[in-house]
Amino acid sequence: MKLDGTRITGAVAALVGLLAVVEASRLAEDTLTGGPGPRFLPVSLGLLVAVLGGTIALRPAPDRTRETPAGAGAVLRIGGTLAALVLYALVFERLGYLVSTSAFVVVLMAAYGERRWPVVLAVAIGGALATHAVFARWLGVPLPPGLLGP
Amino acid sequence: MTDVLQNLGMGFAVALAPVNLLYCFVGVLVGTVIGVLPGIGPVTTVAILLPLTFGMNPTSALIMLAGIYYGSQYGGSTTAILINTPGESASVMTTLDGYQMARAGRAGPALGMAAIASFIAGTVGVVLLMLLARPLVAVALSFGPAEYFALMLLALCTLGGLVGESVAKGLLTGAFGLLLGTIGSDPLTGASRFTFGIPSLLDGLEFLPVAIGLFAVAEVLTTAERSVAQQVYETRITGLLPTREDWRACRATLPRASVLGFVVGVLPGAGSTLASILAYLVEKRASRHPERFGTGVIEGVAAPEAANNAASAGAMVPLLTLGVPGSGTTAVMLGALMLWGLRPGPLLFEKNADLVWGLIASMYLGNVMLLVLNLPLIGLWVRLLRVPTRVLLPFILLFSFTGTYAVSANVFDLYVMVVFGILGYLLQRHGFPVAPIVLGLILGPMLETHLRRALILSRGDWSVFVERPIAATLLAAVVLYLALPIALWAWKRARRQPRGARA
Repeated sequence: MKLDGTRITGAVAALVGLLAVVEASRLAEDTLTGGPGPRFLPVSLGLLVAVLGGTIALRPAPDRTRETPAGAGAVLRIGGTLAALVLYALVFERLGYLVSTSAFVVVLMAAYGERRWPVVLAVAIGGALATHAVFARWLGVPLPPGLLGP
Repeated sequence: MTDVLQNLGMGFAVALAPVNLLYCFVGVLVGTVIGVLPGIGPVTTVAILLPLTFGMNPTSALIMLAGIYYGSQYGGSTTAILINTPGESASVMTTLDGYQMARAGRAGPALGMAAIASFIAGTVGVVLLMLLARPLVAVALSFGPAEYFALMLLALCTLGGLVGESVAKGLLTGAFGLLLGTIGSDPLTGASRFTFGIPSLLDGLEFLPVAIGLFAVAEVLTTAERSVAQQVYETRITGLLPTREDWRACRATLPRASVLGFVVGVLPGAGSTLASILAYLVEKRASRHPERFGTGVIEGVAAPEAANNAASAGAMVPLLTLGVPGSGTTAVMLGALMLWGLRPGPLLFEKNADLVWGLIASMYLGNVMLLVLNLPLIGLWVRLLRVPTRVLLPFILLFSFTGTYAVSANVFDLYVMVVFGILGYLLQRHGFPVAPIVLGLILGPMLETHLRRALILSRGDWSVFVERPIAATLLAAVVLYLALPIALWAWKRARRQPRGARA
């Protein structure tokens, strides 16, 4: 049986479903009023996810999903995006909005192949300032000040 | 009838207020732009712009979000015709004949007919919405928990079954979404489930970070994987008005596709993409020259464009009257209504009549604005296609992050968004639809409450779901729906068997 992405996804889903069943089994079942309690739906859904995931994982024929091997450029773009996403979330409050956002846009544009650095810096800093104006000034969202803050 | 007109009058009074006119205009404008830009669809836009509406009153905000929704159906046709790339999925069918018309030098009439068909269908859709809403509300007021449970189950099953490559994949993501909906305190007893000691999870997963992650972040990752290079198309567009022959060819197409699109839009789970596909196929079958479809016939542009606009009006019917969304975009709009503390459902028509009728009236106005906006500005939209993806993608992510943070200023939401972004990317890569997850997450707590309330009322007797006729009918539809693909599969297998044995 060929191991393709669809089958792996199905298998992972089945595992998640089973874990949910195990975790939810600890909940109380009966309520005083009759009818199912808090355990009923999570356990049923966990089982359903496990069965559907298992069905997909063990399906006879793999389907025609476009699983083209990613080229070097695609790996750089995906990797760059993922790294930027995780790092941005990690430093968002510590470095503050303007610094972390500018850095985020620089990393992304570089990963997507923009090499004109003055353009990159202008878009990054301009974008950070503009979105800051919209969210912090206009909508009153308390964006983290971080390094530049009081 | 008189009360419909009276309500509509009230609606127009609301929609014509300067501030609402402005937001309607902003909505359709943003929607058109979004529709033109490839790789970012209406559901992404509604999700990432939702936080911007928190400061507005709900009526203005809903008017704007709806404008984005139907505006994007207009914009999507522009790229479909000019560069053979649908701006969003509902314009897929428009590429078939629209692009061929553009290659034959008839880009102008194709764009013009797309805009006019959208306008006519949008208006027909709004009229039907208005006429259908009242009777449906009357029926919905008699719904008890059993009926709502059955209805939500049906919505999830049809959405799960229709959007994906296979029914199993759609049902899996729908069930997973429902499972995510059980995270947090149990709505009836308060027992905490799947919280793993994380305080942020006690209230359940916030829907907006999940929706933004699954739609916006995943879409950026998918686009980044493909390629960020893009072709710039140079074309001269002359004469946007369709000829008299074009009009004659579309005489029957426009009303047919409008009504069909609306009906498909009303059905839970069947959105504008399906509507446009069906309309195209119906038109091809009804045509006297079906063999010419795909070579640049004007009906091939008018039918899908009319249908997808009518469908977005149709999709408002279950959302407003029953509080049950039928698509990814309306699911996000339902989430928005709940964030504003409104309870979607039949009572919305009584308690928030100004909001509902204001929205309906604004859709008339929005359709006029779109026609006025689209015909003269098509040249501008074409130029918009040159915004480089490497600038566009970082900004979509930037808005995703800031919008998510704006909801409750909690970094935990950012992690949720990133995790669901990666999950959505991986799922889409392997043909699993993500919209059912969002629908499941939003409907989950309601579905569970209705299920358990129905059983409390019946003292644990499950026959309540088959004894009440409406609930039984809806559940029968669910069973039929699930059994049908299995039966088809078994039938195909049985037919294939002898041939396989011979070989």
